[in-house]
Amino acid sequence: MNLLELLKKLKGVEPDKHYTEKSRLIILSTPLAKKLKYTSPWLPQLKFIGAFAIASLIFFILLGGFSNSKFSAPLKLSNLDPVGLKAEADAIDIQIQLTDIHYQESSGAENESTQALPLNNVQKQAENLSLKNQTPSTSTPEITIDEALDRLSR
Amino acid sequence: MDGTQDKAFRNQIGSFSLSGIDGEERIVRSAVKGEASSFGLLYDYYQPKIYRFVIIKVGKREEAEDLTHQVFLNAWQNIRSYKHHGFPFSSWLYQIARNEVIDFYRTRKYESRLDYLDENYFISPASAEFKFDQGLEMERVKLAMKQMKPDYQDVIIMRFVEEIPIKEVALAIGKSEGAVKLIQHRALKELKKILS
Repeated sequence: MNLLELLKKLKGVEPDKHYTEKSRLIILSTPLAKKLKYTSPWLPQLKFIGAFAIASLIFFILLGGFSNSKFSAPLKLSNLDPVGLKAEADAIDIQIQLTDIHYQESSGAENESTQALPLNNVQKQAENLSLKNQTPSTSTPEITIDEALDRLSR
Repeated sequence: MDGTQDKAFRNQIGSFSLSGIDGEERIVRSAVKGEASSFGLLYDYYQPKIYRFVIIKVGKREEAEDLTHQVFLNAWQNIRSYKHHGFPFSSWLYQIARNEVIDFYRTRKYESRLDYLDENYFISPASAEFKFDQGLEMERVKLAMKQMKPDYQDVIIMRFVEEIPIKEVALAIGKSEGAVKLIQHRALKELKKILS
């Protein structure tokens, strides 16, 4: 008998009938695990709408939506106050001007002298230079070195 | 479900044939919905096949009975997760059976000694007519198969014992049809070599 015929003969192997009946009874009497099943046909749409609503809310919050609402005035953020921001900007401008002038003054003196200029005379310099600021010209004033030194020493 | 209801259901169905795809799909759909009687029909049809598959691989009747029972219990408990989509129910069952056998070898100490093999597992009313020499030959084949790789065993059993189409075998073992053909050829060659 060839191999394939022998293998086909193995099909004659059968389980015991008593075992089969017992096993079948046990299996079919075992209840299925209850699984939560949503049968609503609207569920997919509801899921989409819910996801869209949450995404919109997060987007709205990120854009600072609450700060623009009159109902949430207490939550207004300080850095979004335009008046305060303008005042802050003006203050920054003044400081820049003083610093700028101080730099010009000190850089002009350093070119002629090896001595370091005092850096803590900002106020005096500001007073002296306020006279200069009256002139619209932004170019370097034509003064002698001696005059500049005199001014700084005062 | 008691025996009376089961008989009534079978009478209603009549002499059905699970070989027809339409018939099996209808029964499987009903079983997936939780109809125990429908799953009972599937059990009646596939249980001998799965039992043969398992007993040829593990060798002992008691172990084969336990494993077969576990296969169908798992299938019934997870029937709701089964989706056809071109995946035959038989392939799904054989997948579960393969996994059960793998777990059996992992968790238990498997000994390949000859005296562990059940001498009587071939004896059944269907095999009673076998001649003595044929019985010995089949036992030789069985012993030879146990020396082969699991994939080779699976393909030999499904293709040549149960005569399952290549496509279903491929789905059951998770390989392509081409791979199954190749395994089939190599498995037969190796089996012949071992027997010779």
